[in-house]
Amino acid sequence: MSAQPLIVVDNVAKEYMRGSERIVVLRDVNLEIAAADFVALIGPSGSGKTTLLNLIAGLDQPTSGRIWFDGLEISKLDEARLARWRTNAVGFVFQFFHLIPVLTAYENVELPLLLLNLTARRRREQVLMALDLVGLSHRLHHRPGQLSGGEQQRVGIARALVTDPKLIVADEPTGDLDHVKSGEILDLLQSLQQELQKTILLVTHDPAAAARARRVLRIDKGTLVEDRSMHSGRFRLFEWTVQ
Amino acid sequence: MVPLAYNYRNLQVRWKTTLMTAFGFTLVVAALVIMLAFLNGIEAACIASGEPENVILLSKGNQDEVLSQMERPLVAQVENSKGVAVDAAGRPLASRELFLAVHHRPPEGDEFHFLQVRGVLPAAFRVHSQLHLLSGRTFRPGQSEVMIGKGVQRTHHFQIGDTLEIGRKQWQIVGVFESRGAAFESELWCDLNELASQFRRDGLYSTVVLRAETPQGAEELAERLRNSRSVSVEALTEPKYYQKQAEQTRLLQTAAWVIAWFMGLGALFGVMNTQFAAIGQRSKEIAVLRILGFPARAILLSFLIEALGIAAVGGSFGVALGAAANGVTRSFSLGARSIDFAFRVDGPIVVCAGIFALLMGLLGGLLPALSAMRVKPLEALR
Repeated sequence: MSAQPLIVVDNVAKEYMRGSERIVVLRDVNLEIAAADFVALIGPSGSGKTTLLNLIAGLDQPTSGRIWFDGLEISKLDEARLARWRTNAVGFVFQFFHLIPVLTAYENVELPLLLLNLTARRRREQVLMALDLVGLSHRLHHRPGQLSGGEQQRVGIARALVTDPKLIVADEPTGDLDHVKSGEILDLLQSLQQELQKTILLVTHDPAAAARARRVLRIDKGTLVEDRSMHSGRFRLFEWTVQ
Repeated sequence: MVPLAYNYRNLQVRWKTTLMTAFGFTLVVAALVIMLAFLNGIEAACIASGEPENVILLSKGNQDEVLSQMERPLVAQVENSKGVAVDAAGRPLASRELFLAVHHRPPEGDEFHFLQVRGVLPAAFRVHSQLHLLSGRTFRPGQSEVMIGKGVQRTHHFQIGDTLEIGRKQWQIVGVFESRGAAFESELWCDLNELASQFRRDGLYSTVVLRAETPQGAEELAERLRNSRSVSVEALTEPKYYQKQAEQTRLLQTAAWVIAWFMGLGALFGVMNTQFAAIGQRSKEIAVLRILGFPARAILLSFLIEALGIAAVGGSFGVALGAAANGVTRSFSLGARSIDFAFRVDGPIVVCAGIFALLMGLLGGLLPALSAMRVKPLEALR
């Protein structure tokens, strides 16, 4: 882990109210993620891994605790500033791709760039570069319905990449793909981390997908219970007090 | 801002719903344009009737020449009022007129209808300077001859040479005139004395029209006569007189707008329903746009644009459909008189109908757009 982590999660908890009942989804989560790391978040359904990913990606705010990203405390930002920060800092890859069906691959990838102050020419260069990186230069003007599942997810990854964010979060990105396509998508994410030095935060149920990560975090019942570095051979097990 | 291609293509994808909703706007806007063109046509006919140099005199207490009755001594007195222009021979430019609505039975068919007949003297053609012959000739004094306005010709299909049974006599049509779309075009003009003797109105006049040198002079003349202690008459410049006639359409105008708003509400709920359905189907797309960083107001704007797009398309067809009524001629009863007019679609009506359609689209699209703006991304993607 580098001296200056990209992400710091400090004693974060997340709770919801369901009627009069308080639901604790995350409790006392402390975590640091280094820049250019590939981290997999695993755990059973309902364990809180997607909630943690949403908090780190600035889609939700913690009930308590703080989150820093590259020195900026994102847990303090209001909704509008958080949205602006997300556009620049985070790329999102979804399980069901979530491309806009009426827009072409090119237009889908261009979407986040429309929020930045770029010339049309610059936008075009970046979109073409992103689609080239995912190997879809020949599918620019196809709409999602004309693409295979694997291709749609590639477009999704290009859209996540196009603003050159430091962090790419992927929530079950292979969950809707067959074995072969899943392997291709994971290869792609791995190469983004290795070649472009992107920090990847992957939520997955799939052990094969988690095995691609350099670090695996296991969550259970809202608590981080395991932090394993896959390549260094280090293995750490945390037991957090469940309140 | 969410790209317009997103809205355009979504409208294209659900083209049936789009067209059905837009069609609602088409019908409402077309109806509005036609109603406004109808009122505009009547108003234009009334306004065209007035020459600013002319002052129309009516017997005291009357606002309409149909009921006005003035006697010869009074008429002779007002004709020589100060401010009345004179012709080359030094005679005052004054037109004594007898206006009657008379029964007429067409030769084929047994239904009576009314014809508006104005008996005038030769001076009338100098006072009503905008009136001129289209074909034929003017009637001869002392003869049972009439010239007809082109509105009358259009409505009743009369031709030069036809004879009309009016009163106890047969009157021959000898000419057709026009008067820049004025109410006179709905009238038959004939010799004053001939008409008066036919209907036993000798020495009685409906009105006298005095011509001043200038519009300003006409205003002053009317003012003087209204306030005169020696003559008891109603005096109005012609434009004001016909403007007052046109004001009778105010109630119709209000009714037209009330009807339009009610129909507009139908279109409004149509677009609201369509947009709510669209948002229901696209909540995940909205969520993704929000996650990518599009602010809530961009989502609001995007869905408003979509509703406005439907309204604009429907409204444009509505204006085009309504504009097809432009120039169509009809006859309409205004007070005790009938007026021939042409539906008149002009710039202000087009703008008005366009704004109406967009306003309905905006109001109909607002609630769905607000609900789109409030989509919670994480819940929508769950």
